[in-house]
Amino acid sequence: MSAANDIPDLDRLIHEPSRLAILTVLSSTRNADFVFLQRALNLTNGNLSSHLTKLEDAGLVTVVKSFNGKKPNTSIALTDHGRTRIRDHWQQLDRLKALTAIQAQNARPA
Amino acid sequence: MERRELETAAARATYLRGLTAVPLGLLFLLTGVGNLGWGPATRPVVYLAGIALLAAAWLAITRHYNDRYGRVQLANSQEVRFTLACFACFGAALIGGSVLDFRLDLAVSVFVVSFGLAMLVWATISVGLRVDHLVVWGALIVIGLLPIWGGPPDNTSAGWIPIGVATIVAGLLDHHTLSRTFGPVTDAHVGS
Repeated sequence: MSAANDIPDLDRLIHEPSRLAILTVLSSTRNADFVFLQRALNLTNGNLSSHLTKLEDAGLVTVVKSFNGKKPNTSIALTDHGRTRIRDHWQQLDRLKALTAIQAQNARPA
Repeated sequence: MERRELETAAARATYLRGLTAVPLGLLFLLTGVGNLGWGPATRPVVYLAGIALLAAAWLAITRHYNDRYGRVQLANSQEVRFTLACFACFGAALIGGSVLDFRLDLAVSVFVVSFGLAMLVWATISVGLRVDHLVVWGALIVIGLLPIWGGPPDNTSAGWIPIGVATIVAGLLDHHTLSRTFGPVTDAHVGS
């Protein structure tokens, strides 16, 4: 097998830095709300909304809008599918990192 | 941000809500003062009213954090791990420390020392050990090791006072870390 065939395919939907960060933060939670994700990732309202819409459309997260008293609250959770995809994605990145390290080692003059 | 930082963001946002430690620290102080028979805290009605007031303050602070920093529920596996660690640390410190104090009858307070050690272990597990944890809980351990304690039950009763002060100081420092890590509150963050 050639080295090119060994390079893992990366999921482009997940690999975008903000979406990767959103899914990684959510992977250690049952659910989190919009304000928490904004604070944790330092994203603007519009930016976070747009990424969440893409992730929801792909079935990776569920978004539930409700009220806490009179205050609106948006709760976000990873779906089982989303949890599997983000785990697989990090495994791919780890493989890629290992592969890059091996290639760098081989490229070094003896 | 690094992967590890992202994966621990929820736990840090949960356990760095340091202002919630202020009513807890005040409760420890109230307990210490009451145990020593100082002032009105010795009267059960005053003590119970103090608990009610501090519980209300704790709820208000929690609400403030939820509004300003958002709500997050940790994954079940993490929650179980943190809960077990919390019970193990504080169970060992509170029960083990006071039993040892009564058995050994020393001039040092095993209760205070074990509480300080438990807090260091808990900080390491929950939010990651920082220099200010070492300073605050290290100072508490040093106070516990000073040969100034009058033996049981004084070691445990009076021990609540430095524990209360350390809890409040550590809480304020945790809150400072929370606001530094998750940024200052702006109106844009509230009520989304």
